Amino acid sequence: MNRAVITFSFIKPIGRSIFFFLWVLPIAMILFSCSSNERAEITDNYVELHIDNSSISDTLDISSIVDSVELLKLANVPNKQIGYIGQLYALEDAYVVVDPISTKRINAYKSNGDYLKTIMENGVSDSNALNITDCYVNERKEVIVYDYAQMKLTIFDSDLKRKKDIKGGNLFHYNHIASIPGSDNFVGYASYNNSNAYLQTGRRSPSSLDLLSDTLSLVRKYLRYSKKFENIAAITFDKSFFAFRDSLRFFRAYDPYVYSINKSEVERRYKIIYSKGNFPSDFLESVIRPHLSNVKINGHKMSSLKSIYLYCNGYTSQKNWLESDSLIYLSSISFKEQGTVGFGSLVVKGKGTAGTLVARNFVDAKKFKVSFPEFSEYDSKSNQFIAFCTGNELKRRLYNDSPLRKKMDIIDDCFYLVKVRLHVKDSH
Amino acid sequence: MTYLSFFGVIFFLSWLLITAKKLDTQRRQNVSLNDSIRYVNGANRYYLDLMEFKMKYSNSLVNKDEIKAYDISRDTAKSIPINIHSLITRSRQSLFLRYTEIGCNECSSLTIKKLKQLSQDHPELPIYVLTDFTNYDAYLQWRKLAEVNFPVFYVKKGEITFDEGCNEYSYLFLTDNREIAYDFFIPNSQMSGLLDYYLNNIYKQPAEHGFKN
Repeated sequence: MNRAVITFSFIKPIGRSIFFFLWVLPIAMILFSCSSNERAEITDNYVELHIDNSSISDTLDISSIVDSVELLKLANVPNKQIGYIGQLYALEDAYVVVDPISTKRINAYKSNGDYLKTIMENGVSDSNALNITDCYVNERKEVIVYDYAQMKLTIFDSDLKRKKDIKGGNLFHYNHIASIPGSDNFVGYASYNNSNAYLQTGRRSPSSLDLLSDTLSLVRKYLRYSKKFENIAAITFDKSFFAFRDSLRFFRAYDPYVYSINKSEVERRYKIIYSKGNFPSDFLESVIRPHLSNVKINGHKMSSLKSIYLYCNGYTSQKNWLESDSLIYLSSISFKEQGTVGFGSLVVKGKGTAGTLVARNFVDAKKFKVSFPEFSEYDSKSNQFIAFCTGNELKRRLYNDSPLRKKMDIIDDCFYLVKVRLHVKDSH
Repeated sequence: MTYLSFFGVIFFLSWLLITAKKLDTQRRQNVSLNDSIRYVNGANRYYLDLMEFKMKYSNSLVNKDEIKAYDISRDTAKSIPINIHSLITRSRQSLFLRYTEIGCNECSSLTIKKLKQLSQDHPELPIYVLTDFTNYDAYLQWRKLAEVNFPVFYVKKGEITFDEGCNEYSYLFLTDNREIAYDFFIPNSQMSGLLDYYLNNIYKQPAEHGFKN
């Protein structure tokens, strides 16, 4: 024993070198590579989108680019109703509707609006779901349901048959998870108030965007932020991902960028520049840091959320992003006192600012005579932008002499889809 | 010597791996321990809020100022307000659910469900729901899902004094026909047994407020 200690204390210089190169250096390299592998940079390859929101008109007639408008009533079925639509997805012959608030239920409806099935819901034995608040439909039209309480994804094929479950080893909490097109990997978005730094104990800085493997283990972290901003009462939206061709678009509140994620990289693809109230790129440092103690979530008190609205007063943020080959539909919110005011923008690709339409409500005042609700989904198969609203709202949105009124009875508490096909000439 | 140093390194690496494994196990235990502590802290905070709320408002006069209530039980009767006084004085004792639009959805859904059962068991007890919905569509969806069959009135948020102390949660209270409010309760779906206890004991009040079964 003594001899061994002595040996360790008086290793000859050459022995020390061998010791260093054989053991210490590889260990250091392994540790360094693990650390750097988790951290990755986002490349800049963005196009600026200028949105003039200095004076927004309440309505804007876009009848010249409206080809068709269809209404679809989503059937109410006893005990399987929905009370809120957070996400809407168009499949080949069905629509998937996610209610993450009222019923925590995900329903599928046939293309004629009839109830097809409840894909998943909390507290039902065959669902095995604890808390489902998010869903995503990938480019293969597979439905991916995320149960954040179990860090579990349940994947249904395009016929809505249960295909497989993937359960992550770590209980990270994300707001939304999507799959990366052409890959078996996933990507998760977590806002600042999801305690992910706490769940990722031992990791130095929390992140808002994580690349996850096919088994939901953490591969790479993007959009890292200082731990001091964790648990601020930032708002999040119902959706953060949109599949466009072989890329996945990612967007979030307070951030002027729209990101593009594919198999090999994450890049900033668009930068939205509002003429009024543009959020700075360093939102956390410049807007939040001076008021940090006021905006941290404190128990169940609402004061932190009220503070966020106060300090964001006058700023404008993107809310939802839809994209076709020729058009971008961007919905935005402007923070005003203790609330927000929404507006929409239609951007014709390749036409710059000249091709951008901005209004609180887009209307067709000539043929279909309807004021469109905010678009929520783009169906690439039918080339339709799809909005939803309740019957009560639809009655208000349809002009008295709208031909659509005659097509169906409108019931106040039912949900309706408004499917609009738009055309743009000479878009490129 | 080289032989010994080799074993020394092996020993060191083994120790390193075992320590890392131990730390990881400890971290996992801490995560679940933290969850338990969070739950207990949440429960304590709930009891404290409940006690403060109850002590602050019990035996208060409901209708110090005139409270306008709009009957929205039927879609067509939204515009003519009544004074809440007329509801309270109709019966010796009434149960009110003040439903706040924001707050815990599960808590209020569970409460509605339990109130329906209470109403079936004791039809003599009038139950009223006072909502503060600012969005009529949201109200329609709530009514559709909860299948509410009690009289529902719209009372503007903040118009009832007790709204200040409820931290945006829905709450229950009883009134007698002298317009005295008492026995306040904030339902919490995570502690549904407490709601059962509250509703079961409505009928065990002292004679002054007591409801005869």
